Amino acid sequence: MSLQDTILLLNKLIPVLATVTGNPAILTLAQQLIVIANGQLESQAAASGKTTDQILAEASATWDKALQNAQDLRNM
Amino acid sequence: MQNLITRRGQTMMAAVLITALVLLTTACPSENQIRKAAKASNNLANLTNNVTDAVRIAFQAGQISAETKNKMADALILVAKEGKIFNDMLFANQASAQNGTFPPNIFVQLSTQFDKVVQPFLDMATQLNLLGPNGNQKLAQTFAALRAAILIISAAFK
Repeated sequence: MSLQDTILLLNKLIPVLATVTGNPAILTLAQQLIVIANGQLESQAAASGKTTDQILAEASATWDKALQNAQDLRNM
Repeated sequence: MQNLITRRGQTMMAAVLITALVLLTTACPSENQIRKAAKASNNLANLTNNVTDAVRIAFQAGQISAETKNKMADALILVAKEGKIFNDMLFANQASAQNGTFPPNIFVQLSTQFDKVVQPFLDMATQLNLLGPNGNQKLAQTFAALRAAILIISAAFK
């Protein structure tokens, strides 16, 4: 299961949790999904051929793009 | 009004429970804490872009008002600004980490900055609640994905 798949599952699960809070089965499933997602992040980081500096530089550029995108939304 | 409060209360309770689960399942320090944080930061920035695109689509389709669009855009601008600062702090402090784990004092600074990223996001959550059950589904789903990413990035530090 990829991180994207996990996010999609969490995406569907979290709204459900908001309405059926306290359901032990769903909470257990959420716990498992979060563990999987965290493991995916860790494995992706370990498997990445990029240095941490390169990853952070990529993230920095993405944040810049996110800011510009949000400002464009505000001004439209 | 009572139903609205109950729904918000349930949502808040669910968020608290999920956060508690994240903390319980990821409490142990990881050797890859910095790299996980860097990857998660990038994922979060991408998801912020996705939310921005979803808000734009919802506005253009007439599903949200200009006022709501502007409030969410303001929150997204804050998320992006504080996220960039958070990323810069990771960059600046990575040399201080030992075995990939931040020293406690640096951790506190990162955690404080992270809270500044989360706060405008919570403001956005308020806006989403105002949309009601007939709000844009793609917007709600994208917003939920961003919320999940925030939980994951939290797991890298908490």
